[in-house]
Amino acid sequence: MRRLREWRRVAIGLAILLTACGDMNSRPETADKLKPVLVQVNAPAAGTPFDPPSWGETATLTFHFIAPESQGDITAGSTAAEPAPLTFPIGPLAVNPPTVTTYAGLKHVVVTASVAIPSAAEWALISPALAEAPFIRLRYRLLVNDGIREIPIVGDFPAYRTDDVPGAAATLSGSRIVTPTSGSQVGGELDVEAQIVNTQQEPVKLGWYASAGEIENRRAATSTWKLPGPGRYTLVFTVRGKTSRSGEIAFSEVQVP
Amino acid sequence: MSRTLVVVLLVGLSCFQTKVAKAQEKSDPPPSSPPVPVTKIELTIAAKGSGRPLRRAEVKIGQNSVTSDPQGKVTIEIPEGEGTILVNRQGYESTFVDYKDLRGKSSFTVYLPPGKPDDSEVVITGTRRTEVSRKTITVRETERVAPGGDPAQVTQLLPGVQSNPGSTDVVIRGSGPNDSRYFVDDIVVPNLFHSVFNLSILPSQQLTDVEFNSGGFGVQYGDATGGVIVLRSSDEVAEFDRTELTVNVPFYLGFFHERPLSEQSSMAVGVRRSTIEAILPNVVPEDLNATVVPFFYDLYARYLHKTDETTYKVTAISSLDGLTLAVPFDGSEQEDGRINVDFSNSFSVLALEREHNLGDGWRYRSTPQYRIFRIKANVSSDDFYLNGRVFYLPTEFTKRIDRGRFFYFGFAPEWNNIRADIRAPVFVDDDPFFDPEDAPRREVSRTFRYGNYAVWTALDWAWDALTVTPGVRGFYSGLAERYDVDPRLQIRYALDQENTIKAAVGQYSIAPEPPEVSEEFGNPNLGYERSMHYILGIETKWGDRWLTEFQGFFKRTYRLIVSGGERNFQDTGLRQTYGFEAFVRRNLTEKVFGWLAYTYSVSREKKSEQDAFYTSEFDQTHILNLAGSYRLSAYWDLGTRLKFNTGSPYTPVDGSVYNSNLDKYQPIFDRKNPYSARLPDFHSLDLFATYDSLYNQWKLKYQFGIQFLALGQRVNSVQYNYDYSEKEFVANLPPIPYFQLTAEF
Repeated sequence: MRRLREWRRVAIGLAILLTACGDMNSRPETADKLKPVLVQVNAPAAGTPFDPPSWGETATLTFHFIAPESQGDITAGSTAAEPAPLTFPIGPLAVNPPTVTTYAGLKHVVVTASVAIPSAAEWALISPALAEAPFIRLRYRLLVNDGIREIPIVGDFPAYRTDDVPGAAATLSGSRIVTPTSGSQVGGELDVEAQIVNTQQEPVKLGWYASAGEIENRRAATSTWKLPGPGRYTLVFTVRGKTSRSGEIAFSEVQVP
Repeated sequence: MSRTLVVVLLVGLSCFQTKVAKAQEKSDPPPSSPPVPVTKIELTIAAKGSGRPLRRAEVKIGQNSVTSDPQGKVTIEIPEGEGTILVNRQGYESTFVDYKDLRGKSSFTVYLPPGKPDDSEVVITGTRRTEVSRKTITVRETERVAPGGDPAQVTQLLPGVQSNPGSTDVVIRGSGPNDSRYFVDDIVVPNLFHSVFNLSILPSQQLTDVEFNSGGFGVQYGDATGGVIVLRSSDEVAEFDRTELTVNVPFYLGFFHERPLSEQSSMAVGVRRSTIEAILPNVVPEDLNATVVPFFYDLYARYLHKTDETTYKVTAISSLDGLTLAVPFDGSEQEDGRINVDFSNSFSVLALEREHNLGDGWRYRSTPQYRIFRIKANVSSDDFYLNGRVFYLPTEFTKRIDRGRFFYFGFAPEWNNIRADIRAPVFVDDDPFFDPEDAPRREVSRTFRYGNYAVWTALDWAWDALTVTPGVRGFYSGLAERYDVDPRLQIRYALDQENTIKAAVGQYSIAPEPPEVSEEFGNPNLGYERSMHYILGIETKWGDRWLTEFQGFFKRTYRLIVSGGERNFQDTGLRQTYGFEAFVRRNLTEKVFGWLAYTYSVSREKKSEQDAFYTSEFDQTHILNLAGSYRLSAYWDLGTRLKFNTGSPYTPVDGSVYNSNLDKYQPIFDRKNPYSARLPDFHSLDLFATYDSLYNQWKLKYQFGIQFLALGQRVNSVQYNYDYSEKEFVANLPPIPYFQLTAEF
């Protein structure tokens, strides 16, 4: 069982990796440079139902970023996605200019892009088997430039043959930050909590971001946020479905007196 | 398990109390009636620290002297007047006893303390069958250069062995860690070390030698292309009871007991249990928000029966290593944002060795053995369970033809029944954005039943100074469903009394593993991995104190099983390793022992014939190990180990891409130049000491030290930040102090 001992190496290596202490200060959750945080597909406008991406329609991708208040101009473009097993590359995307919303201590940058999803007839031309599938995963690629570096962003989403394919209606819309409530005054260290609306109980991945400070466990629904001192700060929460690729983003501004 | 430990500790304590009581009976005669002059007294001469009787001790009374019998007893007459008797024995301090201390007593025990370390006598060790690249280190020697006296650890200090601190892998001459085999006598064991502290899976008390074959080994060993490590156990029937209790802080508790059952038989049992799992939670920083619980135990029991013609050894070995881990993890699917890892690796083996003199120069040794093993790995929602049962029957016949000429013949059938239950990500090799977190899962359950069969023969043929050992091994693997043959040749030529030239050439094969040839996971068309070993060297004895050995080697491994292709695995890889080793050894005296081992090697490989060579994962250009021990007195012993090696290669990261599916960055490795970057060179220093505190009938051994000290930057891995824009070199292990207390009685 020689090579099977690899499992022991993997487990021990994982333990070492996870517990090894480094000195790198950069933290993934802090808005100290332009950072992508979420991509939504056909993000529903407030109060409207989710419209799943379907064959023959145009899908809208909404790329969310956070950036420091000092962030300058951002440019975005797209190229065709790389071929990869299990997904079908699409693109380039039709990319719209970024829009910026300012929160306390950070900027929320949104880039929208659209892509036409081939119809069933077009899939049949590529491969008859594809046209029989209930959905096809489409891979995209976006490039954003913050003036210093270029960040490639890749991902995929399922495009359904029809809207009534099982799983097509899965959405995480409505997920939100429960604590802290926006506009509240808080201490230097506070508990944060999110409520997740998961209509089809799919596996999800959570993410906390912040304009400053440290979040103890940014993949947990409840965690602790340590703030650097008095001031106004913004907390960002994201949730994405690992199957449906739907997602939600929420913001909460707080003040430390 | 813990209940078992408590029981054995209580048994040990009761043995100890009995011994102390007996000692008090012997050395403190009951208060008796008024002193009556007694002219005759029976003396017992015993070693201080164990109370064991010393035969052939000389007792001098004036001009007369007498010698103790095998029970250490001698009867003397105390002359009138004042004076002393003198008790002498080689290796012990001479001791005077006043007449007045003896008068009025009918018996008296004289405990002799150990003498000062003697540098004039070299300990001669026996030799076994000729092997070109074998290094044999006795347990007496390993106790001097291994922290805590753990014998198997010395293998990582020998020439040709790659060193990775904190890792239990043994990488020999550029081969992968799984290309070597490990034995306890003829018993196959899956691993030699526990994952914690690099502690060997056997207690040292029952071992005599550690044999390390770095290549060019004989035909009796198969299914290995790297090296062979054998822990040899004692063939001697115990003469005395012996009990040891060990407390190692922070790692483990241990108990060992050995006792004679008759003049021809004895038994021994040892058990160890980790304690690190109780200590670690208190030292892991709270802000790490991590639960790390490594644990292990091992159990060893042996019954030995020996007659003039036959030796029986019934051996049971059991070992368990485990790790429970819960830490914040970026890929967590749980709402607490953590990942849970539960890993355990265990095996148990029961073996009966029978070695018998058939007469007319023939001997045979057979060791039927039954082994069960279990590997369990649970990472979040992925599982890997492997349960196996193996029956193995290695048997060897030896015929002594005449002086220096031997004939060997052996066979080794093995039957395997292995069950695999796996739920794991489907690896997609050519997906640039593959991530196990997001990969589809496959669930497979499969039972593998197969037999492996081997037969071999070899000849030691000596003509004056030349000894040639040709051999051939034929084998069949039930997994590969192929027969094959490995021819091997070893040559020794004694240039003179001091210098011996050694050479070896041979073919070595290793069968594929079940997952590699299974229909579900791998490629059923895989054959044997093959390795050709070429070795040339010279061994020189510099008097009885020093020995040097220089060896050059070239190893070409082809049909290497590599990942890729339509069936996940293909046997198209090629690895070449060449280099030389220098070994300078200061032979063991009571005072000094140590060695210097240096290895220069280059290891490169490619995935297929048409590819270009790249540096192998297991390439370390320079490896230097210094191990030494100096005995200050009969009570104090100092030891050190110094390690230096070129940093291990790794594949550099060229950039990263943000994968929005997973909300994380994925590295873009420089796949055109695998393993083209190196970690900084590594060095570490271990310092340790042993102090023996002797009492009449028992002793306390204090062993303490610190491992992984460094004089400068100490690095053994590279770590990147979350978006791979920064990297730093980190040390996985801090300096680790330890303290070990052993009561021996």
